[in-house]
Amino acid sequence: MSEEKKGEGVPSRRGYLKTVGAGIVGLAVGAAIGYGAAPKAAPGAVTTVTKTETVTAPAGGKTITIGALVCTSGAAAAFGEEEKSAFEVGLDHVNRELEEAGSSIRFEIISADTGTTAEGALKALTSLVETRGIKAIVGPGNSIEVGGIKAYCDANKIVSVAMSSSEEYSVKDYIFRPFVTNKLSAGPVAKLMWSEGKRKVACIYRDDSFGRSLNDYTKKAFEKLGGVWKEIKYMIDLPDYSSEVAALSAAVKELGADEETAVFHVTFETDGLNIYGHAATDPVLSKVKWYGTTDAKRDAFLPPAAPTAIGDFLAKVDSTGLFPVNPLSKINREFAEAYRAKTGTSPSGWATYFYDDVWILCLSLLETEGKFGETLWKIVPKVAERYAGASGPTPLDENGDLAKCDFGVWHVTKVNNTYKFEYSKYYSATTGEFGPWVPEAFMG
Amino acid sequence: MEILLIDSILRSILVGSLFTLIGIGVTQTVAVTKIFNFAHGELVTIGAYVACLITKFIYYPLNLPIAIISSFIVPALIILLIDEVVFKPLTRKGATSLMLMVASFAVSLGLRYSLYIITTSQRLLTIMSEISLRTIYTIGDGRITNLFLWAVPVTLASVLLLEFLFLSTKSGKAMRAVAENVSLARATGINVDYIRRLTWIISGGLAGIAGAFWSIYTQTNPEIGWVILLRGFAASTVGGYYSFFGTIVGGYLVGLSENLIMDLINRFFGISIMYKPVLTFALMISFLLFKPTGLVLEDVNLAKILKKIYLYWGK
Repeated sequence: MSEEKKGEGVPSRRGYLKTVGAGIVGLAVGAAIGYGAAPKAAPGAVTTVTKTETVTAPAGGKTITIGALVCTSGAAAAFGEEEKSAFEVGLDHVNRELEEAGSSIRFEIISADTGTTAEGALKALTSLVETRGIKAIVGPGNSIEVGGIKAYCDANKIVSVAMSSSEEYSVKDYIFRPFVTNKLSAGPVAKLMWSEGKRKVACIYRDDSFGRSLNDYTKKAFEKLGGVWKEIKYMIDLPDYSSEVAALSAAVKELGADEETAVFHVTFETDGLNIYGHAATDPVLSKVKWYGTTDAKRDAFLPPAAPTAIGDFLAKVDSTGLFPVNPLSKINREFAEAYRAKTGTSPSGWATYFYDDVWILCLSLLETEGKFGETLWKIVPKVAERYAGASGPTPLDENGDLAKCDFGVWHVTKVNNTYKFEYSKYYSATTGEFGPWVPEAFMG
Repeated sequence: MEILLIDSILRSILVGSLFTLIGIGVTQTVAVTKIFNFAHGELVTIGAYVACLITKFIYYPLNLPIAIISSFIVPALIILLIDEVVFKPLTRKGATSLMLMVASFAVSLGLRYSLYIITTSQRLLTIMSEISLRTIYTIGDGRITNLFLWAVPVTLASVLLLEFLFLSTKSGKAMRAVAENVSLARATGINVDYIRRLTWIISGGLAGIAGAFWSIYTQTNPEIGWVILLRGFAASTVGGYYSFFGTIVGGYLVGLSENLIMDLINRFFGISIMYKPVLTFALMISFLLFKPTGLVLEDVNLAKILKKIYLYWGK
C-alpha cells in the first residue's frame, strides 16, 4: 500500500488521518478524563428509567412516589440487579402492611440506571427530578455514584437514603447512609490482622474514594498497632491488572513473604477477579495470607461462578475478611424468603441494607404525611434511630451515617471440592472484641 | 521497589500480541472501508463471551482450539450482518467517514446494551473462562503461561497468514487496490463488495480471537472490549491506520509501554504504575502530531525475513 494520493478536491491522506485522528484523540482524552472523574465505565450517557410496577392507592387515597438510583449497567451491574430487587421487595412489604392496616396511602418507586458512574448517577437523578417530579430517593449503592449526586441533593433538598462507605461523604448533608462506612470497618480489620500475627501488610487498592479512604483508615489503625504498611494503588477500569499484581508481588517479597506478612486488598468484583487470576499464578503471593474488605465476600469469587483456579487460590491463601452481620430476626427471614421468591437466589448481606433503605424512607414520609425537603430531612434520623429492620438497628451519627456495626469474620474454605465463605469469629462493636461465631444467632 | 524484569518483558509480549490482533482489524477496516469502527471493541467482547461459554461445555484438549475457531466465526458473522444493515447502506447514500464513525458508535452502544440485557438475564454478566492461567515454564522471575504459549504463536501465525494473503493472493492484492482507491479498483473489475466482506470477516474474526485470549487472561463483561479498544486504536495509529506492519509494531509498542516501560518508570522515578494508560495516550498523540501517516513498513516481507533467519540458523 503506497503513500498518500493528492488530487483536486480530494483531501490528502495526511489531512484525512489528522482529521479523524484528532477525533479519536479527543475521544481518548475524554475517556482519560472519564477514568479520573467517573472511575467506573458506563456504556454511555443513557439514562434508563423504569417504573417498577403500577401501584394503585384505594379510592380517595394517595400514592407517594419515590425514586431509586440503581446501577443496572456499567461495572457494578451485577450489584445493581440485587439492589433493584431488594428495593422492590421492600416496597411490596411496605405497601402490604399499609393495606393490612387499612391505610389509603401507597408508595411506588421509579428507578433510574446510573451506569455505575458519577455523571450517570447525576443524570439519572436529574431525569427523575425534572421529568417525574421525584423529591426523595433510595440509593445509590456506592461511593462513586454518591459523589455524583451529593451537591445536587444538597442544593435541591433531595433526601437520599443511600449506601456508600467513603469517608469524604461523611458530612451533615441530604445523604443518609445507614450502612457500614470505612471508618467503622477499618479498625476491626487492622485489629484482626494484628491478632492473627501479621506485622507487615502490602495493600493493593482501587484509586477511588472508597479505596483511598479504606486504605488510609486501615493503614492508620494498623500502624498505630505497630505494623508496617506498603501500598499499591491502581486505576480502576483498566482492562488488565497484571503489572499491578507484579508490583504487589515485588512489595510482598520486599516485606519478607513470611508468616508475618499479609496482603490486604480493596477491590470490587471485576477488578478483584482479574487480580485473583494473576495472583493465582504468582508463587510469592500464594505464600502469604490475604485479607479483604466486605466486597471480597462475593459468590462471584468462588466456583462455580469463578474458575476453580481462583477458588483454590483463595482457599490456599485463607482469604479472610469482615462482613456486617445482623442478629437473626423474623424480619430478615421474611425478607430473605420474599427475595428468593422474586429472584430465585438468596440475598447477600448488602440486600438487607437496600431493603431497609426503602423502609426508612417510606416510614419517614408517613411521618411527614408526604412532605419532602427539609421536613423529611429532619425526620429521617429520628425514624432510623427507632427502626430495626433486616440489617438490624440503624442508629445514625450526627452526619447521618450508621453509628455502629457488628461484623462476622469470614474466610474461604474448600471442603469436598465445594468452596464457601464460612464465618469463624464475631466482632462486637460494643465491646470492641472478637468472640466465637454462633451460627444460630446471626444473618451474615 | 524492585522490578521483575523478565516477567515484565513476557507480559509486554503477551498483551502486545493481543493488542496487535485488535489493531490489525482496526487498520484493515480503516484502510479498506474507511470506517473507524468503534464497534470493533464489542466484537472483542463477543469473542470473549463465546470463548467463555465454549470452555464451559467442551473440555481439554479441544476446548481452546474450538473456542478460538468459534470466537473467530461468531463476531465475523455479526460484523458482516452489521455491514449489510448499517454501513453498506450508509456508504451507498454517500455518508462521510465522520458519519460512518458516528454510526459505528451507535452500533457499539447497541451491541453493548444488547450484551447487558442478554448476559444479565442469563446471569453471565461477569464470567471467566474455565481455562485458567497456568505457569508452564519459569525463566528467572518470569512465567510463561499456557495462554502465552497459545496467544503469541497464534498472533504470529495470523500475521504470517495475512501477509501471505496480502502479498501472494489475488484477493489480497485486490484488497490493497481497494484500500488505495476504491473507484479505480471497481473500474478495473475488482468485486469491491466481496473484498469488503472479506475485510470484515478477517477484522471481526481477529477481534474475536483477541477476545478469546483476553477471556483467559482476565474476566469478561460487556465493557471489556470497549476498554481495550483504545489500545487497538493506538496500535493502528502507529501504523497510520494503513500499514499492516506498522500496526504490529504498534501493538507490541503499546504492550511494552504499559508494562516494561511503565515498570521501569515506576522503578526509577517512583511514578505509580496506575498511570500506565497515559503512555498509550502519549504514544497515540505523538504519532498523530509528528508522524500521522504512521510507520510505513510496506516492503517488509515477514515470511522472507523468517526464511532468511531459518537459513542463517541452518548454516
